Amino acid sequence: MKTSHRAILDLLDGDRGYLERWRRLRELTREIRTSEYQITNACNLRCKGCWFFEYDFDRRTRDVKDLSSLNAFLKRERDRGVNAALVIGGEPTLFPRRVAAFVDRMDYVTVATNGLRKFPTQGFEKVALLVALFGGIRLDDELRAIRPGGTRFTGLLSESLKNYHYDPRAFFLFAITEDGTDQIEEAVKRIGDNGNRLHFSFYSKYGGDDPLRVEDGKRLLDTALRAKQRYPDTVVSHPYYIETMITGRSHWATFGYEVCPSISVDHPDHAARLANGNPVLPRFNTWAADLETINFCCTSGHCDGCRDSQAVFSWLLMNVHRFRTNKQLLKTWIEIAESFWSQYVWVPTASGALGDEPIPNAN
Amino acid sequence: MSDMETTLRKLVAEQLGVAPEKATLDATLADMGADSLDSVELIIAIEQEFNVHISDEDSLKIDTMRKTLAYLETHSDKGTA
Repeated sequence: MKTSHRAILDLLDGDRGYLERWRRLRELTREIRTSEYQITNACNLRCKGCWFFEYDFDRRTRDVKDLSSLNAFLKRERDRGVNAALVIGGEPTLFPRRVAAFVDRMDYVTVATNGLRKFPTQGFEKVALLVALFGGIRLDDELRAIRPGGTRFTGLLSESLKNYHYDPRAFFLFAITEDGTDQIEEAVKRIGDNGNRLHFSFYSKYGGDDPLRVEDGKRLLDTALRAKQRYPDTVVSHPYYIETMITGRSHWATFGYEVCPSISVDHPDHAARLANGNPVLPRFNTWAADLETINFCCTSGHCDGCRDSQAVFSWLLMNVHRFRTNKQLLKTWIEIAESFWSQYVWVPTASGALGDEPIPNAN
Repeated sequence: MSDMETTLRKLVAEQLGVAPEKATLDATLADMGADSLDSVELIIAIEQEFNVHISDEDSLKIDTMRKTLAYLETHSDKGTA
C-alpha cells in the first residue's frame, strides 16, 4: 500500500471500506477530462430563467452544421487531452447526428436536455442525459412550458417522465426555488415513481435584480433536506451539497467567480483568476456553437446570479484538500463525489480501475 | 541531501510512480503528472510523515519540492539531518 493510502486509512480510523471508495474515485477522476460544447443555438422551448436566451447566446454565433467540420474539431479536442463532453445548447436532442459525432470521438458523453423530445436509445446507450425541471410540477409549466413563439402548454414534466420512464441514462436536475417550496416533495415522488433519480439545483431568476435572492432560505433548505430524507433513493444529492447549493456557502468559503473552477481555462479574461491559487477544472473550456468561440464559463458569466449545479459540484470536488482535516469531512467528500458521478450512466463499473461494483449512492 | 529531502523525494516518487531522481526540486507536481487528488494524497502523507499541519491555503502554495522543504524546515518538528 502506498504511504499516502496508509496515511488516508489512518485518517479514516482504519475504515477500509471508505479507503476503497476513495481509491475507486481516485482512478475514475484521473482519467476524465471534460469540456462543454454548445452544439446548437436552436431550442424548442423558451424557459424563464434560462441564461442561454436571457443573455442572447443564441445570437452570438452560428451553428456548425457540417459534420466533417465537427469531426475535425472533435479530433483537435481529443488531441488537447479532453475525453469527456458535456453537450448543451440550445437543445441538443434536436440534432442527434451531432451528438453521434461526440459519441464516436469522445469516451464519455453527457447531454443536457429540457426533456421535451425523447432522445433515441439505439447508438446512445451510454449517453448520460441530464433532464431539466424547474420549481415543481405546476411551476415547471409556468416557467418552462413555453414554445419559441410564446405559446404556453401544460404537462411538460409528464412528457419528460414519459420519455425517460425507467431510462438508466436519464437523471433529473431539479432546480428548486422558494416560489415552489410546497411542490418539491410531490415532484420528487413523481420522479422516483417513474424509475428516475435527481439532484437538486438552484433556480436563478436571471433577468431580475437579484437572481439568487431567497426570502426564507431555511424553509427551502428544510424542505429539500426532508425530501432527501423521505426519498433517499430518488434524491441522490448529499445534504452537505444541498445546503451549499441553497446557501451558496461551504464550510470554508462562499461560491462565486473567484473560487468557481468551471471557467474556460483558455479564455483571455481569466488570467487573474487562474493566478489566484484556487483550483480550476483542468483543460475545461466551453465552446460556442461555431466551434471557434470559447465562452467565459459553463454558463453565462453572470457570476452574481449563478448557482449552477455542476459548477457547485466542481467547486466542492476540486477543493478536496478542504475536506482532509478530519475523518468526517473526508467521508463527506467521498460521499459527495460518489453522488456526483452517479449522475452519469457512462461511469465504468467493469472490473479494473473501478472494481466490479457500481459506485454506490452512499448517503 | 538531507534526510528530510530524501524522505520527501521518496514520498513524491512513490505517489507519482516515478523514479526518485525524477522528482526534481523545482518541477511542480502538475509538471510531474499530479492531479488534485495526487496533491491531496501527498499532503496527507507529508503531514503524517513529518508530524506537521499544513493549512488549506499553504497546501495549494507548496507545489514544488523546494517549497515543501522550505515549509517543513520551519514548521516540522523533524529537523534536517
